[in-house]
Amino acid sequence: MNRSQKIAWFTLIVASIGSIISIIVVVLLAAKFGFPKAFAGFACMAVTGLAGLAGVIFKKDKGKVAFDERDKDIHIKASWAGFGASYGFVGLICMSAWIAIGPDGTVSVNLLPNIFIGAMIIMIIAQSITTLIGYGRGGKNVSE
Amino acid sequence: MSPNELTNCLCRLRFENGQITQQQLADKVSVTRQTIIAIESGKYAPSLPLAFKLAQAFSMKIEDVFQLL
Repeated sequence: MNRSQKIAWFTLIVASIGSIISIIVVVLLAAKFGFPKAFAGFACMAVTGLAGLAGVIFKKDKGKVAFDERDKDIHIKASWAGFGASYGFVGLICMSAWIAIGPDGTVSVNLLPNIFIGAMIIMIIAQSITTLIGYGRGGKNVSE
Repeated sequence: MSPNELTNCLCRLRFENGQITQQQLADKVSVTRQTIIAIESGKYAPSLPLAFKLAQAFSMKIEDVFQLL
């Protein structure tokens, strides 16, 4: 498993944990205080920020070449997948709000930071999954 | 196997040319070992410059190393 795969796994795990924790907290807060106070639970998404440590935790791969044309290709595809997923997420939220409350309805601006954070989480999850798919499952070097 | 798929005989060539390892070949053409593994298994089609480098590593023509099905 190379450095990019390790970073992708780490990011995916941290983002998943952050998402699960925040959903649990939002549900608990909603049960106790109701919305919009429960939206504060999304602050737990900050856990996902730990994914930024991946670059420090996982050192560069040993060997003459650590990054080549295939890695570049996979990174480009992952970036596009991340962009597409986050764009789709924002579009879906906007259209859902429009369908749910109609063209004359109003939405609280408190939702905007949550949409932004959600799009960011979706982006890094999509990027990580695409990276892992690009490198193949496991990444074991089968033959010598 | 889909049409227009690129196949190669890198694995055989490595063994016919002094049993060089995937790492040695990777170092020779400046890529990672994972890339050599992916090319050998047909999971990755190399760029034209890399295909030329691989062929040159065995002192062969590109069409003798890579074939289009």
